[in-house]
Amino acid sequence: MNTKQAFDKHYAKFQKNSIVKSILLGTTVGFAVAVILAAIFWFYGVKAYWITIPVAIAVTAGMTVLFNKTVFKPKAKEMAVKLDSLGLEERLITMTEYENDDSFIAKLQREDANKKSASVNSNLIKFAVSIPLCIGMAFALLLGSGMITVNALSSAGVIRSGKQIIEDINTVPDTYYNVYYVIEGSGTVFGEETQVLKAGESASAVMVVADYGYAFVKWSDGYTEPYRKDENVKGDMILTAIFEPDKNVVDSSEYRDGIGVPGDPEKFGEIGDNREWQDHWDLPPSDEDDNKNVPPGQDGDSVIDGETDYGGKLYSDAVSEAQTQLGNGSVYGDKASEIITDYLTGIKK
Amino acid sequence: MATENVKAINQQDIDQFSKQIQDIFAQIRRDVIGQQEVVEGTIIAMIAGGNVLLEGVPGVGKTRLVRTLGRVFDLPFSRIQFTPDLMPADVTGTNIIVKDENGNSSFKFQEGPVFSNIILADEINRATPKTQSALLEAMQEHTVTVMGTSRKLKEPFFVLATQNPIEQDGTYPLPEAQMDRFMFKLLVPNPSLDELMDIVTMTQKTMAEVADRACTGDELLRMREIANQIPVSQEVLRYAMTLTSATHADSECATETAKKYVRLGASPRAGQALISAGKVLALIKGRYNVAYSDINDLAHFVLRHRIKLNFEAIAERISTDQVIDMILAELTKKLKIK
Repeated sequence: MNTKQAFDKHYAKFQKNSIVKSILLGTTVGFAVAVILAAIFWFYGVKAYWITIPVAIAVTAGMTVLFNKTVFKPKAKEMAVKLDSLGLEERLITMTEYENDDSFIAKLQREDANKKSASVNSNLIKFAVSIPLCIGMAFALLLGSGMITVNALSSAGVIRSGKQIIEDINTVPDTYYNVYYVIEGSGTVFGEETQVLKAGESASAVMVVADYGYAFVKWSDGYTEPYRKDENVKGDMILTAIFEPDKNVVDSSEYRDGIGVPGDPEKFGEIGDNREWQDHWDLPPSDEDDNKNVPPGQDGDSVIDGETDYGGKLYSDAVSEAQTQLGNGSVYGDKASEIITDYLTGIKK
Repeated sequence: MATENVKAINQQDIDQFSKQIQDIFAQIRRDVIGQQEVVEGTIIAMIAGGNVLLEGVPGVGKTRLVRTLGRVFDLPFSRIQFTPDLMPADVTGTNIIVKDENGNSSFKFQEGPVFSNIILADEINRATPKTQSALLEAMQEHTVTVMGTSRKLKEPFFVLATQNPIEQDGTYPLPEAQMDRFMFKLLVPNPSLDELMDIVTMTQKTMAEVADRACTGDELLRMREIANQIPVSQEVLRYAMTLTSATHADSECATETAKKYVRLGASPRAGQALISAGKVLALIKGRYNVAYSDINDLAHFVLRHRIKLNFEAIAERISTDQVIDMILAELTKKLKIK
């Protein structure tokens, strides 16, 4: 009489329990592997999420068999303890421990234990599924499915990969600065008056031009050239171009003092109207060329029908020449050329 | 495991054990009415080779039980009435001067009442500790040493002491060392109404004890050998030792009850007693292995005189038996033992 006989009748019941536990733990391990694999794939942006599913299934199956053959294989001592709890009064556990004892009393004990074991109804054997095991499996399933989904979404480009997210986190956000070019007095900014720039970038060139009767003095930062191109911007800037009335320019109204009231077009006509000058000046322009309309005290070219004579050339000719110079191997950059062109066009208008 | 140097056991021995144990109980029942637990406990202790301390009020049949045991086992029986003036030599015996036929004087050891197989130490707590301790060696080693000479006592040797739980004036509570040498402490209750009627009816006919021999001393020793070979699983052994250890407030297995109520826990002898007696109990029940239930059934017998309660337990009027119950409940729950 050996110990095996005592358990034969109940072995199937224990085996079922072993299979259930093996499946639970096998699934836990399988999906844990899937979680790790999917996480690696997701992190490195490997578009192979579909691999994790067969891997999870394969590992689950493999581990279930392994656990069933090893960890959860019904052991004589465990079966003995379980069956003893059904009223066998430690007969089976004693029998298991003394299975190699050849004494008469030990043999008698084994006989007694076998006899009692046979009388136990297998249906009375109850197994409780381990709650931690169930929780572990549920957690692994949930996490595994979730991670595979994340990996799939990442592969499809719906969400970012882990590596990309890490890079995003590690990237220092760009700093942007505002650069404003404003006018104080009368003048015009040619170029972008408001610029938004990354730290260290260069602003596009601007140029300011004084209105008639004004002269550019300087920028608020002390720079004295009307054309400027700020480089390596490291902060918000408000650069004000300062203009002052040009003392060298005489307001036409001054020449009308005692004759008429400035702004009375009925009497004096519009500024620039030759007729007006001819009617009211004692000394009409005597210069035969373009200087005949220049008011006293002013040098420069004459204005004829809205066009200025630049040293014998008409304005339009000068512009064309300038544009040609700007276009062909100009020392100015494209932006500067553009600004100058705008300026010239502005003047013309 | 089979014990070495012990005659091999066969089926006949087992059958003989069963028959004898039934005969022993049957014969004792002829003279002792009721007291089932006390009788069982006493028989278990005798087979296991332990001594028993009986505690009960006068007149409940303690002395009668001991006399009956002597008859049933057909063993010489000595009764020592312990009194405050009882001297150790009155128990163990002493050397006396004797003259031979030639007129020469010489010392001769005069055996005391302890030289018997069954000793009734009646009202043991009335003697001085010195006299009480005269029994220590006899109870544990089954030897008596007088004037440097050790003498072996006859086997089986069994001490059955009684003490009265009341009338504590002029008594000397047994020292811990001696208490520990009693395998069991059995409480002899007052008989129930039916038992009382049976007792009176029986004694009206005759006061004489009528029990017959059911077993000899040698047979008793053989029963002890058989019981000793009953296997004990490691699980059960661990449980018995855990129970013993759990009575200590400062042990690794200490129960909350022990921490709260126990001043002194059971000694290792308690563990030995639980296993030895457990084997006998299992065999009496017809089982060939010791079960948790055997340990639990014997726990009160073995532990109640080995546990000293602290002031808190005394203040709350909690008895040692209640503490044992609480420890058992706590332990079986903790170890998930059904």
